[in-house]
Amino acid sequence: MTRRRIETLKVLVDGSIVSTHAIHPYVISEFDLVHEARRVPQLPRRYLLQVLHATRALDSYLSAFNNLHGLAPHARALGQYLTALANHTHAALSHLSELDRLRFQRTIANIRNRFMHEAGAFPVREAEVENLLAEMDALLSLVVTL
Amino acid sequence: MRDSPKLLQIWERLRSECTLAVEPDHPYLLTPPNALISKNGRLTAIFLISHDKLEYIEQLLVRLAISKLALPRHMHCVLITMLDSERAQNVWDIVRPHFHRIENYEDLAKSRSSLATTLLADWAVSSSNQDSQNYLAKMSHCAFARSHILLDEMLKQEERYTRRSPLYALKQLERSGNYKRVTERSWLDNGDHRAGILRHEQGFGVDAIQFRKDGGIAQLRSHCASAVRWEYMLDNGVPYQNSGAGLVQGIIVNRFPTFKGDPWKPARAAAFMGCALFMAKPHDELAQTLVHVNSQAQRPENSRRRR
Repeated sequence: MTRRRIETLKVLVDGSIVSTHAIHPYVISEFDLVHEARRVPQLPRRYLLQVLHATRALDSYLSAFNNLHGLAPHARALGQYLTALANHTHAALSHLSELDRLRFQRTIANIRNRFMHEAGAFPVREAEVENLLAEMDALLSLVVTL
Repeated sequence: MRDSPKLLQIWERLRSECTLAVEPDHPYLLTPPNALISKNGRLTAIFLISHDKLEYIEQLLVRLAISKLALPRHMHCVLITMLDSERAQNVWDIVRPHFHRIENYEDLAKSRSSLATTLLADWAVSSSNQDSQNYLAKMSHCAFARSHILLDEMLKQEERYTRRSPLYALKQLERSGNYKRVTERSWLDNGDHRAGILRHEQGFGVDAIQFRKDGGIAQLRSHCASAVRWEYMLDNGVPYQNSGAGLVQGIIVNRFPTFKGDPWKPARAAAFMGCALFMAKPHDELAQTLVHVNSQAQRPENSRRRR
């Protein structure tokens, strides 16, 4: 993730409702850690760290966002956050479309779960990590507009 | 323009007062605002203009329209002019209804009060604006959903590079008889000087780009801007869809441009502006793909939840 992308995501988070939540400074620092991970010399570990910190930033953001809107208070997984955003009854909040929910489940949750939970699973190519992180950025950029 | 000491001074002051992203890298925006600033839940997009020709003003308005769709609805839009007072007035006359606030960069640089407080001030949304905010939410929702459909369609293409000429492929399509060349729609100058693009009898457009080795994004940006002008019109800062819009503009290319750190950003951001890139291939295959993608792109309307 480039420095400009990190700065953009930080502005979006700081300009959203999540700026009032106690998790806010930790989300911001996770973005910095994604960028700092580029200095790790061993490529597989670098890629995994980038995915890990981006995951913590995204999931914490979504948890706080849902929490502040009273959605799915017990949710602890990306799939549950997405389902809550697609099916809620909050009058002032738009819905994540079903197509988008399914798409992000496929492009983020299904791919990163393997890296996060399966022994020996690492992203192999840089483009693979870049595409995964870009999808996570895209999801966050969409959720701030709901 | 971006190296102006006064402008750098403004950025430095803002950086110390709030969160700032200069030339933001947004996943869905090929033409973002010049800067984004935020603090405590407030968000402002800053646009700069340093020319008063209609062409530049129109580019500014296209950037504003697409930024409104991709960024949060509570965001305010501020225009900072880098012009003398007479030329600034020309711009002001045209763009005033679309921005929350217009500032001169010299006045801002001289100001002793907090720039973040000035630029992040709370402009209350009147009840008459609530309808347009709801409309904007609907348009934004459709633009995101359509961009994902188009991106998935583009990812299905096996070839990423071809020696075939996009311009030749476009000519072949034109000869097939289902397309005619129409003048491109312009917001400010009636588009008389523009070359125009091919439009299918069903309404969707087709264009071609032969990407240079060193280029890509800039060429793509100007083609996608024409799709935005075709699809939307800007009224009081809200992009309203024209009748018969929602159709995809196909762009025949010789390769897919990439972007550092986000390889698919050009394709995703083009899709957000209503464009889909296709490798140059025989015209009958291309014609089929264009019709198929346009039918797929109508799906966001159907998938929207109604309550």
